[in-house]
Parts: sequence; structure tokens; C-alpha cells
Amino acid sequence: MAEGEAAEPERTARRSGPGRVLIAVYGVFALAASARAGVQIATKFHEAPVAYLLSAFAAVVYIVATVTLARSGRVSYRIAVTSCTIELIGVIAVGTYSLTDKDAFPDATVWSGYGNGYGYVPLVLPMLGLLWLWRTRRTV
Amino acid sequence: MVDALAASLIVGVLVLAGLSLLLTALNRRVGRLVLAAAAVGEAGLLVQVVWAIVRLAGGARPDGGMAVFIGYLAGSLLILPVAAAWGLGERTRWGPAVVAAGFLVTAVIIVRMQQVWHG
Repeated sequence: MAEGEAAEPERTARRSGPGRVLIAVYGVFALAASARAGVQIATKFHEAPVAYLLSAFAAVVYIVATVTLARSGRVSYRIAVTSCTIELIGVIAVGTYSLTDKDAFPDATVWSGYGNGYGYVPLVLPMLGLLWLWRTRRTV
Repeated sequence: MVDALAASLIVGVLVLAGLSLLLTALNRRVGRLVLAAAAVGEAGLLVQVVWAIVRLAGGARPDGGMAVFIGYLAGSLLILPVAAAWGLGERTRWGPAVVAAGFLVTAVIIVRMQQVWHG
């Protein structure tokens, strides 16, 4: 795989190979989180405003991560690292908080229970994202 | 929704996901086989959408909410074409892997549609 990466033109390395799959999954989460937050805020915002605003925030982070992972350049690289880090902190913080204080999250967000409603993909995804960004750091 | 149709669709897309992952393991790029698999999956999803429209026109309503159901219905048609296009742009073994991810996401969407329909 390392050989394949080296053979790629530098400007596209981050969205090639496994990165291609990563961006695809990020895109799905950007879409799913946005749709979910949109429906929650539009139909029942008063029930759990904090949880739904958090859903919307998570959706924005996923969108930013998807776009910056797919784009080349140093600025995109840094924003991608920041978004993945925010996601990782978010999923761990919200996951822990949702377990200790269930009343605060009457309705699940994408990060509740460490993302167990989404097969723990929200927990694994930022780790894979950071790993991939680290592996492609020289091609920025 | 017809549960039998959804169940066969889920099994079908999981098989196609397995096929795509096999092609990744065999170091193949996205070719006619993967594109045909995506087309077959999309055709099955179209059948489901048409059936859902027939049911909705007949007065049936999803227990989990109309807007959410329509969202999943529209989303189910979107995933495979986008995955196929995104996988086609990758001229390595990771192309079929992208399409495999699309099939897996499609399976999840069908499951969620069932849950929304039954409330």
C-alpha cells in the first residue's frame, strides 16, 4: 500500500486508496447527521434543545471533515485534523455524559452511548481519520 | 412495506457488498461487474420505492413519521449511484471497497425504513 501511495500524485493522495472509502463513509455520516438534526429541530426542538443542537453541531463537523479530507492542501489538512479531533473528543465526552446523565439526552444524538446507535462507527471514524491524516502527512 | 421484499433486498445488497469486498481482496478495480452489481441493487431499491409509493397512495402511513420515511426512501436511491461514481474515480482495489460501503449503508437504510414504517 505504501508503494501505491508514493505512486499517487501528491495533490490527490489524501483522497486515494483507503482515503476514498473513509471519505465515502464520512459523506454518509454528514448526510445522515444533517438529515437527523434537521428533522429533530424542525419537528420537536422543544423536547430536547441541547441534544438537537448537539446533533446539528455534529452534522456540521462531519460536513467539514468530509470536505477537507477530500480537498488537497495544507489548510484543508489542518482543518481535517481539527474536525476529526473535535469528533473524537465529542463522541467520548457526549458518550460518557449520556451514560452518566440520561436525563440530559432524552433523545439520542449521533454521539450518545459512544455512537452505539450507529454501530460505534462515530467512535471509530475519527480514529481512522486521524490515522489516515497522519499516514498521508508528507503529501500535504 | 412488504417485509419479504425488504428482507430479500437486505440479503441481496449484503451479498453484493461481499462480492465487492472480494474484488477488493483480489486487487481488482471497479469494472463492469461492480457497476452491474450496483445497477442490480439500484433496480431492487426502485422496486421498493415504487411499492412504497403505491402503499402511501393507498392510504397506508408509516408509524414513525412521514417525513422521516420519505427521507430514507429518497436516500436509499441516492447512495449506490454516488458510491459507484466515487468508486469509479479510484483506479485501485479501493474502488470496489467504496461500492461495498455503499451496499452496507443501503442495507442499514432498508432496516431503518422498516423500523420507521412499523413505528
